[in-house]
Amino acid sequence: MLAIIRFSLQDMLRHYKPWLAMAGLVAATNLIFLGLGGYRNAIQQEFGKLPYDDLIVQESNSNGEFFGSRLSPEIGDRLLAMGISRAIPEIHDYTGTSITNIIILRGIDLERYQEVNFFKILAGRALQPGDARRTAMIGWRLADRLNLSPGQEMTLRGRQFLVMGTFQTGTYVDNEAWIALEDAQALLGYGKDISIYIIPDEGILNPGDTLPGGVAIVKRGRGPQTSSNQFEPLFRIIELIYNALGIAAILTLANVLFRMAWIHRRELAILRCVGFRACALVVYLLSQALVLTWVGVILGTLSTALLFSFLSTDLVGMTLHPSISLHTGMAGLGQSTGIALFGTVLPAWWFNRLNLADQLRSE
Amino acid sequence: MKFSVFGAYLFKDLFFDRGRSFLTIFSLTAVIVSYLAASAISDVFLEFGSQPQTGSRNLLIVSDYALDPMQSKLDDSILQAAAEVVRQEFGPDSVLSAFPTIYRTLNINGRNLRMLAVPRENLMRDSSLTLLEGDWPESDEHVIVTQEALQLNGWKIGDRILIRGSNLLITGRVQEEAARTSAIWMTYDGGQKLFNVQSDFQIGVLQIDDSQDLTTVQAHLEQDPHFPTGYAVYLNQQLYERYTDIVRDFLKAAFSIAALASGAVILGTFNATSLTMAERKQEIAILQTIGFTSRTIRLFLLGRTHLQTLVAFCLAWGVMAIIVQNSLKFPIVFYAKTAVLRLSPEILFLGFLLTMLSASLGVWLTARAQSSLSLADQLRE
Repeated sequence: MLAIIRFSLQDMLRHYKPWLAMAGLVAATNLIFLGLGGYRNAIQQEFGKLPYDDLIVQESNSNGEFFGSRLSPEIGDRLLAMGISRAIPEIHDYTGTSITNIIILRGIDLERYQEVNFFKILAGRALQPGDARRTAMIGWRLADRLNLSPGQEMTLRGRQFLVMGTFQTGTYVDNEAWIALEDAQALLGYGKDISIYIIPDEGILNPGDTLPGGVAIVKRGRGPQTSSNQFEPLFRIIELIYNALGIAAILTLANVLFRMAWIHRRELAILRCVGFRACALVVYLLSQALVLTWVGVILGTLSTALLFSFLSTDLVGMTLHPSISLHTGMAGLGQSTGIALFGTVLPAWWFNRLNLADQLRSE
Repeated sequence: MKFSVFGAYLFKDLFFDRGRSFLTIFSLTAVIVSYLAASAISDVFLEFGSQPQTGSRNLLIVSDYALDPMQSKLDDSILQAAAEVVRQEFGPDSVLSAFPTIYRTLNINGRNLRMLAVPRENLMRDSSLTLLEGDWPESDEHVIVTQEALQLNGWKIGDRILIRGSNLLITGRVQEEAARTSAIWMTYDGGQKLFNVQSDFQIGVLQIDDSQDLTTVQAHLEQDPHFPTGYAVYLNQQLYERYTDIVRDFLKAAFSIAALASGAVILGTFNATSLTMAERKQEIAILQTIGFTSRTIRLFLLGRTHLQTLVAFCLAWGVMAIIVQNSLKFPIVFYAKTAVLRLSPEILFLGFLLTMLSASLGVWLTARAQSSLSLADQLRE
């Protein structure tokens, strides 16, 4: 068997040009697969399930967890009067006049925001009751983008805010700047209004319920999930490209393998005559296919890693950092191995149907 | 050689080698489909990334800090002050109308949608809308909807839609001149009630007379000391153009995919054609021995390859047409702007050119390599 594999690989080296082109095709397929997986992972990580079981009270038909909701403080009183144990107000909006200087802003109630927001302080400290006006804590991604660290000042709509600390949540929230609720109200011209109330899911109000005056109750995290769903039609089409390339790779591989075996049909027939079994042909074809697809996978993975190392995607003040997870990488390898297997089946079946005597007479 | 003989020989050869000819055609088809799909995606992003010029004569006034018009807030005094500045400079007839617009981005059925409320007479006359079906809104609870919003949400004229607790009746289907957006339009009075607003709105619109140059008026307004501070003036396309920046990075990604697919189409076609040639070295040498010139043989091989590529291209076109038709059910929507996959003549032409060129390259490179060998060597191979 080793002799067949050696013969197969030597033959591959002799006709390296079509194999190189073929490896390029597999690499392109792998690159699209890993690229798509990388973006899907990044979006899932950023906007997927948030670690909260709370409910959000927001303006109906708005995406209050990002922006666009505005509620009067009376709504909070009404919620408490209904028996809700806590209603913590927040402002969600953004500042900036173009996509390049956009900053996602969150106004927080300094007394209670830590009850409903989990984060890890990376540098400096968290905002706390009694802090001076115009202080902020910012997510590490925003700090990275603006090159800021605790003790420095940042500008929000022309006003200077002192950065007290940087935090990490592991989600899109790491792109946000948090300031005191009163500061946000003054900065954004909200008056006494807020954007949302965060309430516990105690069974008094449920997702889908509405309150008079155009107020809706939704599950916390639904807004970010809805936003990320916008990408699904795009991903479906990219998936289509990947599938088409996968099919093309299988068919082209089958074609290349068959033609290579055809060129050497006499030598292969002689091997059969001197005692090699019919499966020797499968080994001959599969060893070429596997080497080729694995070279393609290595090329594709390296190209994707290179692409991801300098490619970050800004999306309305949020930066997506796609990466190759172990799971995606293994799936890519598995699919490429599948290409090798499927690509081998057809020429092996076809070739085994040919008459041995005819193959020997072929020269 | 006569064309008919050439053609007959070509078809006979393809038929004789039909199994592998089909395999070659199908693999080429799959490669071309991936290229066309990738190019179509790039086209979608180009559509997102550009705001078409319109014949609109409107200047839009919004708060200068607002990225999304929904963040803007102004009242009638601001709008009238701006109109007065224009009239002072460009004459009393330079402003045809000045009207308010309430603007909201809403989330309906998990998708973003724009909602605009404009005084009824301006809605019918000055909003660059074409009524395709039904009637203009007659009351506060009537709305007209762009065909993109109708399609996305499965609505039809006569349906009632629940927004902020109000059951609004769809009375008409409209098309916006500027772009394919998912939007609902209603009367200003209706918008005030729906969103519970009194005197403030998001966009002030000045309709400027045809005799004036719109950009000159815009520049003057921005510099005039009497123009209220804290506000900015935009042309229609400028205001919405800022949304298109949102997909800027995705545009790069889409172009990368298209470039990758172009590479794949070149590699795939080259592979298929060069292998056919490599496998037939001996037959080609025999043909040369019995008197065929290398030019005739090259022409024959080129014809064979082009025929396969042409059939593959037509198949790929058909497959893509089906995909495009099906994708209409799942349009790509970013921030209420809608785009669907489509196969433009440019994409098809470029795709055709690329596949044919790479097929020719495959034949040429292999033929060149073979011609460097002596006839005897070719026969011995």
